Amino acid sequence: MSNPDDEPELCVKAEEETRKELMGSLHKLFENGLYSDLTIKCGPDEYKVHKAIVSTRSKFFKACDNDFFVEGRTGVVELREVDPVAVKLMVHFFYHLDYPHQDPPVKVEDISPGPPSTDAVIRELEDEWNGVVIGLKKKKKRMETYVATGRAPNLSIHAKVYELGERYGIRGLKALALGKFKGELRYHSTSGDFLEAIEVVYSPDWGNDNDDAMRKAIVQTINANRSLLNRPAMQDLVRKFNELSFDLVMHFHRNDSQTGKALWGRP
Amino acid sequence: MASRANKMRPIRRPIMNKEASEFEPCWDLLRDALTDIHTKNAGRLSFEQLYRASYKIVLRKKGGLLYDKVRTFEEEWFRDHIMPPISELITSTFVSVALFHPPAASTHERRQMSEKFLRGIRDSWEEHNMSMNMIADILMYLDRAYTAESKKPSIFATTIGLFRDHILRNSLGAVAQDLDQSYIVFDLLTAVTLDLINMERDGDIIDRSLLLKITSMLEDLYETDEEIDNQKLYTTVFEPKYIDSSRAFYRMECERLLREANASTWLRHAQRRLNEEQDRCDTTLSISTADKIAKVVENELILAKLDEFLALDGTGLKSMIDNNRSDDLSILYSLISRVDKTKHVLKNTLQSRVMELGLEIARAQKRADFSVPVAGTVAADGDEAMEGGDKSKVQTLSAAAQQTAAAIKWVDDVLLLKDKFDNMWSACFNQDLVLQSAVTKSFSEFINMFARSSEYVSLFIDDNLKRGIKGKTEDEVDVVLDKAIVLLRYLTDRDMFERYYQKHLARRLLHGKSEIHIEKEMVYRMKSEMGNHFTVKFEGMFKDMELSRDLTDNYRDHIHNLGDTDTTKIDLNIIVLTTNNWPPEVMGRGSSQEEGEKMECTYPPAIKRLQESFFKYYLKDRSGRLLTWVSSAGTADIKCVFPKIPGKETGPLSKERRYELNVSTYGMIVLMLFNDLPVGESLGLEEIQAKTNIPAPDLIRTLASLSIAPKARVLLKDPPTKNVKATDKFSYNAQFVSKAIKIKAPTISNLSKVEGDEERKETEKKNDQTRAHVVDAAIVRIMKQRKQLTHTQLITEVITQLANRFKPEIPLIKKRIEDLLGREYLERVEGEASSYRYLA
Repeated sequence: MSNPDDEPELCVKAEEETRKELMGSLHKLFENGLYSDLTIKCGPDEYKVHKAIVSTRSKFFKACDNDFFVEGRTGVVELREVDPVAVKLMVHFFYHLDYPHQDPPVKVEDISPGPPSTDAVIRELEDEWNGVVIGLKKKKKRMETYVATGRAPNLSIHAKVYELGERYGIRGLKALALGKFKGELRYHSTSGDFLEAIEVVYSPDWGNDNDDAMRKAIVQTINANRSLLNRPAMQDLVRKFNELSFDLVMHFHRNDSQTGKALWGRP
Repeated sequence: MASRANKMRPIRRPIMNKEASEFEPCWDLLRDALTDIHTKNAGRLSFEQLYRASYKIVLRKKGGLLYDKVRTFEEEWFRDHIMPPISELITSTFVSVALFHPPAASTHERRQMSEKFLRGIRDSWEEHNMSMNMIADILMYLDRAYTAESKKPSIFATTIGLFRDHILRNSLGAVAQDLDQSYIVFDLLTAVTLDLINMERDGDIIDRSLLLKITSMLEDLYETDEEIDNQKLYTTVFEPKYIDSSRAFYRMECERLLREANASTWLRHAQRRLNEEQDRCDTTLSISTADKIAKVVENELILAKLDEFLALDGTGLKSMIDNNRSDDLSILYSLISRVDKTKHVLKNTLQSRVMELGLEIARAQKRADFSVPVAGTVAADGDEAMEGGDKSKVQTLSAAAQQTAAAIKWVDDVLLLKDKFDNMWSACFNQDLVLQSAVTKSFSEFINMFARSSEYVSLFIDDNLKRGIKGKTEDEVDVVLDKAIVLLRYLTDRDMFERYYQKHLARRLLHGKSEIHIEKEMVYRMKSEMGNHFTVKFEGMFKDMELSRDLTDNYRDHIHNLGDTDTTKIDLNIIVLTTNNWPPEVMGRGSSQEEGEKMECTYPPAIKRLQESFFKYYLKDRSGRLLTWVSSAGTADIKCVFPKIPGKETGPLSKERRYELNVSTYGMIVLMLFNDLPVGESLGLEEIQAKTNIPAPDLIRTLASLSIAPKARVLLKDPPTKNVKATDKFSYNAQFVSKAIKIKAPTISNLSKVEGDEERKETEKKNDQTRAHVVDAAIVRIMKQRKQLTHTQLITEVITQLANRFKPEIPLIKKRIEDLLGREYLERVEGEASSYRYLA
């Protein structure tokens, strides 16, 4: 099929080109720390970052930049009581709008900053920011890519990254982590990592996320695979977290009343 | 720590006690931090740690508790640390100075006290504002996760609002007990701020940045903690008071300026004030006030007494216009454009000024004495008048020439006036279209109020076209012609102009007074301005001239081919005029015809033969045409020989002299008489008239030109007085000498002059007759198309149709309707009051 008017295509091409350029330069800044004016520390890790990039994405980092506080005077922000791997991924995200998959056993040194993610992912991400509903097909396709990689699940890591997004007010990061989480959940619900993720999401340190999207995803997954509840490890978790028990009961309840006809319809 | 480590975490059961016990250390940490922030004790505070503490509290669902604790803490802090210093500033002296401006305190003192107070407010505000911002940063997660959900005002809004509730809205307390009404601190703040602004308006230097801090504070504070967008204290409280205070200030200032009675000062002052207020909004207050305060200045300082200022003697609008005060006018225009889109006052004054100045030109023209030729303007006419060399002749000639000069002066003055207003329009009025059309209307009005404008404009063009040959460059002529066209646009009686122009053009063409391409250019411009019908006759005249030139050449060839060279050589230069194209005066249908006698003068035999020969030639191709010789319009070049005077051995008289004398056709006829006259004999005037049958006035003029002016005195008059009388006798001047070979006998008839009153009446009468016909034609044309119309409709239509030619007077139209009713072109419609029907 020939398109008589190929100008739009050219524009798309140019847009891709310029996007690549910007992403490439951000990647370089991330790699060599050139012009860095802020250091983020977490555990053993140190990142040379840029206020222009982090403070404009997170009000937390913006507020740090105040001479009244140690952070403002020293130019070093030390993040405590958070997972260093998640922090690593968060910083990666600031510069790449994405973060890479982690292979177990996770060692900090192993995470090499990959090339900037494909344009498709970036665009999808932006679509999510803009509140544009991504077509189901597209979503499915993306999920399948996770499967295709055939790698170990990162469910608990996504959950921790999500928590950082909530803690420091980074909406994009939350959306990205949630997307990745849901994607893997379809194929890794039986993994031990899922149980670990439940521990993170239902721990008392979990943020007061208004829409509780992560918890919903977990409950839905359990509902869809009720055999999971046969497992002692899962039963331990249900027993341990009141809120998980509550969420499950409520979910089953809502679900049953919706499909009530099938269950209770004919006495 | 690696994620796997999570496994090792002890299982935490959510126990209330445990959570409560977690709250206390976090809150302790935060409370100390709040204190440190207030006391500016930085040092050890880590933002991350504080943020984490508040985050943790919110996670443990203790957001509400934290919110209340922070609020209480801040209220206490505010009460104990922020309010006392402010209270100290509010002394009873200060309150009375700030609110009542007692005369005991000088402006300077007042300013000092005010600024001190404002500085105190500013300092505590800045401290409070900064602290609240920092605290809001630390408690960011509280606002995001708790406050928003519980629909409470943000921690920042609720703590920053303390300043409004506990300072601005606080009563003045004990110091203001005796006052008749209860004031709050805000009143004090507004009063001193407005006072300072007024001081600045009076020329004092004030601390602008201090005021800016205060107004920014009011812009940061809202009426309530909900922080509704248009509920900023600046907008709800301060601004209305500022506007009121400014209104009072400018009202007084305007009255003071009016007492000073100088419109020029006032204009500049108003302009300066507008700029100042804009500047004040930019630097001291808020740009959101700019339009409102501009409106105050416009209303109170400009519009309120606009008419009074413009009417001021010596500096008012009239004086600005008369003295071309373009700066004043520019300012005035920009100010008036702001306050009144119709520019009503400016428009009216301009109009009446144009009228007055225009009518003044006419009055001045009547008073003026043009007996001394105005340099340049009348030089051309003056020359010929002066060349009479004879005092009495100068007098008689100049009476007419003076009038002509006056006419041209009138047009010149009108053009000057036009230039003046045009310049004003582009330099001061931004080429405003409303003003342009207003001024144009007034020009048109006064020009048409002047009865002779049509004639004068035509004379002006005549003068310039004639002098165009005499050394003006074409560009200069061009400019003048453009102006003439502009004037033409103003004329409503264009038919009158057409009549005069035809007359003047005829003279120029017949006497070769102007250059034909310039004439054509002028007519072309008129055509594009007035339409085709206007220039039909003029173009016909040009065509006649061209055809005649060909005719002359062809006739000359014809004679040459005949080999008919028997008679004295006479070269005929014929111009055949089509009757309708040329003015009746030229065609010999002028006033003399009215007397009933058709004057046909007697030509010398040689001329007669020539006429017959030409007539024969002319009718060869054009049978049935009637040619009438217009002897009053022609000229002749006569080669004359003055024989040597016997007995004279030296000097010019000792030789035979040959001259070429250019005279009118009449002059030629007269001179030919003397050819046959024996030497020494003379002819009386009556004798000459009898022999030539030339009309008496023309004959007298002809003889005068040949016997009085020394340049062409080929005839001797007896007695040699300065006037030609019926009893005078004329003889051949054998002793005539001239340095020039070609001599032009001075003629009077080819000068275009202002008409005398009699002539004028004549012209108007003729014009009215023509108008009657034109109106008739218009009425019939309209009625034929519309079949039936009311009287008013018909009159309106007639006026519209004729607008391009002249402005018919209503009585004339009525008379013509009556006439047409009488002649049964129209009939009245039965039963309908004043309606007419067309009768086919």
